[in-house]
Formats: sequence, structure tokens, C-alpha cells
Amino acid sequence: MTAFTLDGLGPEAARWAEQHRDQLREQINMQAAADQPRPQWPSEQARLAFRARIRERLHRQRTPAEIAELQAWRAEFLGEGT
Amino acid sequence: VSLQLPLPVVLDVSALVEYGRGEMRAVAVGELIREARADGAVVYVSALAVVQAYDRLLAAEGAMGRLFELLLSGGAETVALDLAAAKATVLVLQHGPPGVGMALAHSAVITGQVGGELATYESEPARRLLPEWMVNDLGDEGYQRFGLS
Repeated sequence: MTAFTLDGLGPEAARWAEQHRDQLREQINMQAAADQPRPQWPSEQARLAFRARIRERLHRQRTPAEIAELQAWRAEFLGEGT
Repeated sequence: VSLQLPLPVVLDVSALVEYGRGEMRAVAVGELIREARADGAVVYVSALAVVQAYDRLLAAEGAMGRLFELLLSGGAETVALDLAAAKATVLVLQHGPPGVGMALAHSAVITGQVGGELATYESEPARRLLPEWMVNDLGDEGYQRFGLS
């Protein structure tokens, strides 16, 4: 794997990285492509079932009690509504 | 509070580390990222979590490429620790259980700010920082519900 370190990245190096962003990205993508094969699901059925569960979670409307709990959490830690 | 759907997803350090390692456990977080992106949900990571994951993955062969590919390809949006977030993070740390790191606390703050879900393989400390329903336990669901081992 090509070494890629952020240690000691000063302003000049940061400018260089900004100027070479596309080149770096390509290099890193090449690294990723050269990595070991990605892990596979034991079965397509298991993958689809997991994905459906994720989709359900991402689209679940919160209950009024959950909304109230989130509001209380935000008030305590983010200072919202105070 | 009005929460946008699909809910935003926040990946904690454990999720980033598993994704980087790319072993069997990573299928859960990989699938979550794919579903979120396909669905138009935003995926966030704390800048502190990135640094901690970077440190943990230094010795893992091939892991850094996967981590940076996720962060630089637009797969996840990195959130810096600004002053307001730092204050909230310290508050969360003060109220949380002993041993919780700043990266997890900042991830919890982001999750609360965006009203999303914190995706983690280490759900126990996360559940003590956030309401339980805001924590997506990838370890539990990935292993026990779908037969991954």
C-alpha cells in the first residue's frame, strides 16, 4: 500500500495536497481497488433482509415520546430551547 | 422538532474501523452506507472519529485505502469540531459513563444535532450517551439477526 500520512502536515503540504487533490484521490482509489476483496454476505437473502431492515429504520417516523426525548436531550446538551 | 426522512446516519469510530478493516463484520456497515446513499440519506463522521480510526488502522494492511476512499469519494461527510460542538461534547462526556472517548461523544453530539442514528459496533457506551432508539447496533443486527459470523 502506498504510504499516505497526515502526520506533520503543515501549511505548505496542505496547499500541495489541495493542488493535487484529484491526483491523490485517484491514487487512493487505486489503493482501494488493490485492497483485498471486500467481504461477502453469506447469502443474498441475508443481505436483502438486512438492507430492508436498514431502509425501515431510516424511514421510520419518530413517535411523539421519542421526539420529546430528543428535544430534552438537545435542551440538556445543545442548549436548545433554553 | 421535525425530523427529515430518510434519517441521517452518523458512523462512529467502531464503524469506521470495521469498514476500513474490510473483514466479515464490515458487510453490515458497508450495506448501511450503500442503502443510505441510494436512499439520499446523508452519512456523517466526526473528524475526531476519523483521527481515531486512522490511528487504529495504521497497522492494518489495506485498511487505509478503504477508509480514505470512503471519506474522499463523498461517501461520508466529515464534521469538524467547532466551538459550540466542543462545548456540547464536553457536556456529554461529563454526563456519560467513565471511559467514553471524545470521538464517541462528538459523534453523539452530531447525531443529536441532525436527529439521526448513530451506527456503531459498540452500542453499550453509545446507548448511555443518546436515547436508545437513536443507536443502530450493527454488531447485534449484523451478527445475530442475519447470521453473520
